Amino acid sequence: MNEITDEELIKNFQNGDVNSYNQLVYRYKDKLFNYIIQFVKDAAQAEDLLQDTFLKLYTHKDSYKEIAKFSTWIYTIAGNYAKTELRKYKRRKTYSHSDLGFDNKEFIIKDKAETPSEAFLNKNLKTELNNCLSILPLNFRTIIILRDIQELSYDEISTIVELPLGTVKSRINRARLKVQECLNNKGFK
Amino acid sequence: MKNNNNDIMEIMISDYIEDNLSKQDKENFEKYMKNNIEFTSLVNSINNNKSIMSSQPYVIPSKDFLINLNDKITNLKINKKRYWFGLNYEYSLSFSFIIIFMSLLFINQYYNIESEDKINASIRLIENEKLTIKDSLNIIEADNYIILQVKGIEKK
Repeated sequence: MNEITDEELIKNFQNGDVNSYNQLVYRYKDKLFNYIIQFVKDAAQAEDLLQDTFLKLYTHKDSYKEIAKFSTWIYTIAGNYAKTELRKYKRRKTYSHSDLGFDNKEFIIKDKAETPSEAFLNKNLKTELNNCLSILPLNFRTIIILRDIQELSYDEISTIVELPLGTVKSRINRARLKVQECLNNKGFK
Repeated sequence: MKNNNNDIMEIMISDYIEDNLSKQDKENFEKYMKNNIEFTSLVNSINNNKSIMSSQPYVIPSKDFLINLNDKITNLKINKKRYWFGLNYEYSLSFSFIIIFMSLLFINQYYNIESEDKINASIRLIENEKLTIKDSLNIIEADNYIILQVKGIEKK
């Protein structure tokens, strides 16, 4: 049951084995798609960014050096694409008439008209949890997504976001508290 | 004092729910939880949120995703083959034609100038020779005149 590692696959791909590239795409397409979509909130756009990520892997395969794990490298590429797109979106928003009242709520999934009793339903908790995640500052959001949704290790996150391990840990804790505070304000205790 | 303690305990929440606390810290943390219902509720909520986030159903890319990706890679390969000095196939072809045309024009011009120069030089040479011949004829004529005169004098 010795499954070939990501690092071995990228090495094979660097040596010209296109099949290894396909395997890497299969391994990461869903994970990265779920990662990107947390930033852009639009499936079509997330798909485009995911394709850009895999194209970069194809064209810049030699940029990967075996000093870091493959996963951290590919997450960094995807994250950079997603954040660049997010910034572009925010810039566009600045110049266009926002249909939302305040800046920080640009990415809130369309609010459903809800009664106080509905707010306590568990399915709404998931929605509100996502909404609270969306309004977190980007540096907190990235870290909590990587940890709680993507379930990466602290070491991997530290490499991806280029922050010391201690800072990553404290940010995750603060991000979780912020999410809970946001949920409390929405009536979830 | 309670607030200060609460802040310290809040910092430890993530380590507690991820089971990264030392035995001693864990005992202190749980002791604090027992005495603070509100804090216990906070810890439970954060733990619950974490579980919800990690159990979120995976959204998957559309069925066409891999087909589109392969198309993009194929296009990339074709374009890469067609590229020449940073220009694509159509541009490089037009560029080559322009270069060839300009070269031919230059060669043609160069040889035209050169042959014109040669003709002019030949004309000048012929004209010079003409002048030389004319001069020679004049000299001969002058000589003849002198001879005739000398002969006439002799006749006289």
